[in-house]
Amino acid sequence: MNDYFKYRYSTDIDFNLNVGTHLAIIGNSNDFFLDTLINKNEKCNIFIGDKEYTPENKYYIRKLMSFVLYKHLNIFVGETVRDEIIFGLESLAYTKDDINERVASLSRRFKLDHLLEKDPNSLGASDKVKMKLLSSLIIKPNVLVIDSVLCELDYVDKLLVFDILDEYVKNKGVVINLTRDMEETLEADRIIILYDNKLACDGKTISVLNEEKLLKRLGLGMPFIVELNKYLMDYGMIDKYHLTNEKLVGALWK
Amino acid sequence: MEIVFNKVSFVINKNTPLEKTILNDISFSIIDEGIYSFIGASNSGKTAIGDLISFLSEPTKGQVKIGRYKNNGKKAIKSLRLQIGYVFKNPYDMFFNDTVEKELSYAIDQFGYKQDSKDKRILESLKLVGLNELYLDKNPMELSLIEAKKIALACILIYNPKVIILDEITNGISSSDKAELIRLFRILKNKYRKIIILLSKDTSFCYQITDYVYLMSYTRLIKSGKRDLLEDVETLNEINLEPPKIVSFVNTYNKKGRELNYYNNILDLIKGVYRDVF
Repeated sequence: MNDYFKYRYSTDIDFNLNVGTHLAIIGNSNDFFLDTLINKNEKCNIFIGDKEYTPENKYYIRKLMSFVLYKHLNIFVGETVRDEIIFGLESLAYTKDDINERVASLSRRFKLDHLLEKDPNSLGASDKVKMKLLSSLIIKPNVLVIDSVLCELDYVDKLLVFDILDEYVKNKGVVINLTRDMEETLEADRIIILYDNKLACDGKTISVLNEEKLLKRLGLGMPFIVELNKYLMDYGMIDKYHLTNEKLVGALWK
Repeated sequence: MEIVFNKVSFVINKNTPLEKTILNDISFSIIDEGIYSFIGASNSGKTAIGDLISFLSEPTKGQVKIGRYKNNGKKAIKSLRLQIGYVFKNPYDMFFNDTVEKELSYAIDQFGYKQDSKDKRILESLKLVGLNELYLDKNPMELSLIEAKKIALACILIYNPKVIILDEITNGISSSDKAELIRLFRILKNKYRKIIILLSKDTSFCYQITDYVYLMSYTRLIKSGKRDLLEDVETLNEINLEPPKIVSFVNTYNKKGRELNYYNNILDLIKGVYRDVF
């Protein structure tokens, strides 16, 4: 399925996403983009599959598109973590067996199974983020929108979550990660820069990170390993990108 | 201004099913100005330290002393509030006015600063965090996360406190903003002699500026020492923290039988590598 997710905003922003894409959106217009996705703007056309997002089929689209928002990180609907997780499934009227099966398998995957009966308020920040991600992923949406919550994760949890997202993307999901942290963009397949509500740059991860001048002018900076590569290239010590420490050191001392 | 923790324990929801130990037998003292980092994964009790220093909560056991004040639940602490600035993890928690200007001038009104210097102070504090006067009429709740964090920091800087506590300030901000913060912290430390307390898990950021490090894990203070504590990769991995990016690169590099120093910023690192290879 090509061009599964289509987004247009007047003439300023225009992009299509295939299934199985991990997209990172950076720049200063993340809030604006998120607002058009949730509330739908008149100038904005969004297609998921062959359905257009209109006020009439809002609830159908909400089943396909799931959100994890920073502002909702401390807002809970349930008394225990389990209630919090199954809220979406209960609203969609799934059977009890189905719910239990999904909770059991996914909570083990997220390493939250020992916390299921705890109060969500008593969790640490990292567990809260994992819980919110789990409660969004459990309804098996086709598009998952993440708004700058991954920065709250601990190191080990971050590796785990990116692993899960990779698996989700391989199973024909679309991840849209709105972020400020440039290190997270290295995990994405594609990067889009939105600046002042306009599309500034769009392309594969490394080709966007290669635009040093643009990134500096927009005040975004670069991930550490890319910056290191860039300086070493300027000195003529390596001739192409090596994105892990081992490969880079190997290239320096070949 | 002295900050002394003497065998402090902190338990929330005591004698209920939700009882949870947050801090367990913590002792340390901070006397001189400088940048102090409390580093730990989530659930390690960093935020509780910020709460106890700013007297938002009271220790269950042990003593917390800030200058001549003792944290024992007494309320006569208005002059202490003037000396402590605390930026929360979620900046939106700090806002309660409908414009940024009211938000900034609240502290000036409360602490009895002269009204005729108000505008100047507001502009100066905005300038320190790298924003301009266009933000004055905006609603703080509608700002993006990164701007909200900057405004929250400006709200603290405006009344010139002696101790500045920053909870997870680097989460979700871009690398150029981090560079700006580093410059700001250097000014605050060297020129204005502040005590800056960072509660963070971003070891790469702390490694660049911190003077003193406290490592925390699951309610306990595990190790404390100078900045080179962050070069100890084994301990960091044990308590679920990412080693600083520069340290892990230098370690990989030194596996080839070289001896590269640990540099604290990327430009020095490049020069070091260049000298070593040629």
